[in-house]
Amino acid sequence: MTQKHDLSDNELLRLMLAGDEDALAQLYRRRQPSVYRFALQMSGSKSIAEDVTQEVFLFLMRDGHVFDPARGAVNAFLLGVARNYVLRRLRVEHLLSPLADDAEEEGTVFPHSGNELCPLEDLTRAETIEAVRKAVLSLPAKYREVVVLCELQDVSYVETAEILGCAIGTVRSRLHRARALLLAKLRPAESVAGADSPSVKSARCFA
Amino acid sequence: MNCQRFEQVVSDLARSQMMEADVRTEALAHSEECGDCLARLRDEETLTRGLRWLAADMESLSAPNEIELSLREAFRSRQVPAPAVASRSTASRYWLVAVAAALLVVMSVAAMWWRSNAPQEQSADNKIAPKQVEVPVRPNDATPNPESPRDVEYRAEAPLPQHQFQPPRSVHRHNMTRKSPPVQMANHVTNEIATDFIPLGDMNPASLQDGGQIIRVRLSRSELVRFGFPVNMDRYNENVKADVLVGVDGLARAIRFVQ
Repeated sequence: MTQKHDLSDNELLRLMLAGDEDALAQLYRRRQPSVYRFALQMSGSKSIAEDVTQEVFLFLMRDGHVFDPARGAVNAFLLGVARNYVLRRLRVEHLLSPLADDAEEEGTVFPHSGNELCPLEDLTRAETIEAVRKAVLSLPAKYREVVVLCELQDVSYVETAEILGCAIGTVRSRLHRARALLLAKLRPAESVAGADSPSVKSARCFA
Repeated sequence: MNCQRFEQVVSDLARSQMMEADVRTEALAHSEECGDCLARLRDEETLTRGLRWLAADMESLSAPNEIELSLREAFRSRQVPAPAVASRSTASRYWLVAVAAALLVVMSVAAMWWRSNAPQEQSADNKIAPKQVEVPVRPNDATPNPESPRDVEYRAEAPLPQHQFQPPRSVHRHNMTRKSPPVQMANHVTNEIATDFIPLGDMNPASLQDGGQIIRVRLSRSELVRFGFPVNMDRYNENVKADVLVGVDGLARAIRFVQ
């Protein structure tokens, strides 16, 4: 088992599909945290995250032979499978709308910075984390998954594009839009109007 | 750099993403000159910091150990197939598909064969089902009867009581098991075109309730004139085929011409 630490994900997957239980354990321990966190950050529910994690690795045991190394890494493959399971669960449980409503009601977690003030400096770190977490959960799914992957999981644009099955340019534009939405959600309500469209007024400055 | 261009790069700038050094320098210089863009940059940096705190806060989270245990148990119970077994199952799948395709082809051919013979069954009256009584007296048959009338060709049909009606398909399957004469008949009938039955005299449909017979005959082509059909004078002396519907009393009730 100890020598399996040095094996790549692809090798572990191959051994697992050949019936090696230790390879399964090694691959699981290596990759389950990112899968679990992704599911948790997408759903905000521990039970869903646990279910999805289990489903993802059951899928890998059952249909792992469909993995194509030429199309990306094992981790990206697992996150792609996890994404499908999470979205399916969220559709079933209708979690998206209530979360969005809650976040809008709670509304103003970040004070607007203005020119000089930092929006977060008056908040404790824990409060900030909680506010950001709620704001992320309130995003539409297609923006949330980009934020979770690129910002919270630190996945590259290329891998995110593989996971989502879209172009890198789409990832970049969605991330840009998602960050604008997050800023709008974290500002006071009175300054939210118009913040959904963060494009800069063209007449303001052309220096 | 202007504000629009700054807006395009502010996220990457706040996230410390890789970007061209010139672009970074220009963006930072622009933010020094433009207060709104500086505020925008600060907001983005604040958001980035918040997201990183959230990511760090969740960094230590992982699935409970029970999941690993249940997965290992499932792995043992499943006995995940080795690649060789997987390929075998794939091969067996191909065999199943091949067998299914072959069955489909056979069924299609059978259906086409059945359909091509359907007009033969529909040609008779609903009351009159084809009976397997063949009178092979064609000139090229093995046992021709030189003294038979010129007009009786090769087939007679008789009614069956309703309760004895046999499905046409089974009749044809039975015929298929025979030797060449029935097959010749089938091919012969398939290509025929027939007129509607033309009543002879005062035909009463009720008179056919007890059944009847259809007898294939050959007539002189000149007989067509009597029924109002045009006749090609160049072929005046040739014969034409016709089916005569004969009642149980032996009287001809109707006739149709066959080509």
